[in-house]
Amino acid sequence: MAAITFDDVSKTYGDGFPAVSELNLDVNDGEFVVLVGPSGCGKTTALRMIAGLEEISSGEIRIGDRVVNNLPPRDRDVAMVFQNYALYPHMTVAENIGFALRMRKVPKAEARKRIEETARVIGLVDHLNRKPKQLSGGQRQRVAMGRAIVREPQVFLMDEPLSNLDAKLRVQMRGEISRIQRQLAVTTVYVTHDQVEAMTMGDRVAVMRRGVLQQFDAPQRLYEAPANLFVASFIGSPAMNVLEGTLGLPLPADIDASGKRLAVGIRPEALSLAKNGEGPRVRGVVQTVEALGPEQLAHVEIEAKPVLVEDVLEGLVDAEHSDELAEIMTDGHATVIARLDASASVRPDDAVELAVDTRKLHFFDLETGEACR
Amino acid sequence: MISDAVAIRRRRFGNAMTYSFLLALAVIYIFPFIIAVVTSFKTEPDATANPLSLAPNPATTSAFHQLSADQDFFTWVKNSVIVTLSVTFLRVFLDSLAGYALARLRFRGRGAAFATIVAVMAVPGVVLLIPKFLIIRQFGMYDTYYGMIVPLLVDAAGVFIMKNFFESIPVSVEESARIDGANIFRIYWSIVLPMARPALVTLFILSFQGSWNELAQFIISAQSASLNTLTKGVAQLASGQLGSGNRYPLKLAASTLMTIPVALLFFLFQRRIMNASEGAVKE
Repeated sequence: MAAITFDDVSKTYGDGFPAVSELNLDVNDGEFVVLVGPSGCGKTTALRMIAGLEEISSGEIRIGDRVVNNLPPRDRDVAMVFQNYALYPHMTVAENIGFALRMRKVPKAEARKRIEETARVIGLVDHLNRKPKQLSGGQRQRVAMGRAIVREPQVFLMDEPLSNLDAKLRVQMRGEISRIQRQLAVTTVYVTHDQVEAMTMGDRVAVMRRGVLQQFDAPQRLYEAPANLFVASFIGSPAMNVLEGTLGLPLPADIDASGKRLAVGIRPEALSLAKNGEGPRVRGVVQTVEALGPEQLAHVEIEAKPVLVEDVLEGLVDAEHSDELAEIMTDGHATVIARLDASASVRPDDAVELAVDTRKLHFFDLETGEACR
Repeated sequence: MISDAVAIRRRRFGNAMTYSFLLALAVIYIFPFIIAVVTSFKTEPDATANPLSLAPNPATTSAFHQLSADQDFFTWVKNSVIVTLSVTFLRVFLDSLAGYALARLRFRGRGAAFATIVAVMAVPGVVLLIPKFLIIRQFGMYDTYYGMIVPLLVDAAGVFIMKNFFESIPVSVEESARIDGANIFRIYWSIVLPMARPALVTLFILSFQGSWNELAQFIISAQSASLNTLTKGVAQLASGQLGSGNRYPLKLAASTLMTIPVALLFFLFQRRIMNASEGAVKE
């Protein structure tokens, strides 16, 4: 086991495109860290630099106390699970799992023992003699995991390992990977564009955008205290409602707003149907209601200006679609999403008053996009 | 309903016409080969009198007996086998090595090297015969197996086929092997080559057939009768000598025997060409 350290690591491609800029990141020994961000944010490049599949333009990567910048992949003692599994199609499951052991000249008897142990961990004992094409997608994914596990490496690297599975299987495998990682306590770096995966699996999550680390924190901290507009809109589903100005909502005493253009961020669960009584509130008209069983999501149009800066749009969708989203949202009104109790009676076209839980508000400086703290 | 029936009848008629046409083409295409096989079972007077008859009268295997009694014929077979097997196995190996290097290794001049190889494909083989002859002489390989084999060891088309195939193999499979601890040659040998089986089979068949049927190269690289291959021997039979008659059955018996290995090869391997990377990665 070992810690991983990124020290001012940059990667610039031949055409001058900076894939990763001055990344500083410390992954503790045995920790499960998720790199998350929209496509093109540099997360996969960062992972491939740890593996040695991508050269580093500047900076230093250490695994344990070894600087690995110039070490070939096979000398880094890392194992990687690829998005497309990258199994060897002409080999059986046992041969696939055992290939790395064969390369390392592990004695046959020991190799067989380790392959069988691994097969037990991934639940494929009865499939050791099958070829990959005879396996289902989920089983192939397990073989890919098995190949990593059998090595007993210092570091697991996983590049969107679940994105080719269907939704149900993904949830199941999510739990399984977390379980195996905890059981083996191997330092793990996991790349995904799915913030739900990031939030549920990571001990800590590094949010990246355009090659730059935005925030590196525990999932709950990312949710409760996003560092900037991008993280605020990227983390959370449905996304945070971000509106220009303060909507007359009270600012916490410790925020100095003088001379700043502010935006307010309201999580959907910070809004509720106002009952009689005091308290800050916003008024609007219900557009649609999504019933989800235990709760419902009400889309309410209010008198306010939505924030359409790139930070927010890119947090909501991939960069390439952000223009379309901006178009949809620029009709002068803002639609906020409120997470309401299933028992609340709201219907489209209802005029409603939404109470705002002021303890859960976030304020951002619109110039810099940074959170006001 | 009526129009449906008419449409069906029209389609059937159309199909019948298409198949008749294709059948006619197939017959025209295979007819010379059938004549060759049939004639090899004829007597010499019969072959001379009825060269295009499809029924030997009488049928005889005397041409084959004559061939098997001829020591030269076995020399030709032996030489053809030696040359063809050497060329085929080495060419498949070398073409795939070159193809892999051009597909995956980053080195200076890679683009230029590939462009040159492709350009060579555009040069007619005949143009190169004299230069090849001069080089073979210069290297002291004239009239040896080396002179017959070495110039055939690598071919541009094979390198081209292999490069294209290797490029279709997902890079992640090779990266996975790199992380697993394999060096470049090991990746090529244990991972990529087994995955390239369809391309290798194709190349194997093409190389086998190409070198088995090669004639011009053997004419310029050797002159001793002891180095005659089947193609060269049969060609000499066909050009014949005065006073020895036309010897159609003998020549065509030799030709018929000569086609058997290639035909067998096609027959055996045609079903082995399949998708190699199936199951490797999720598309």
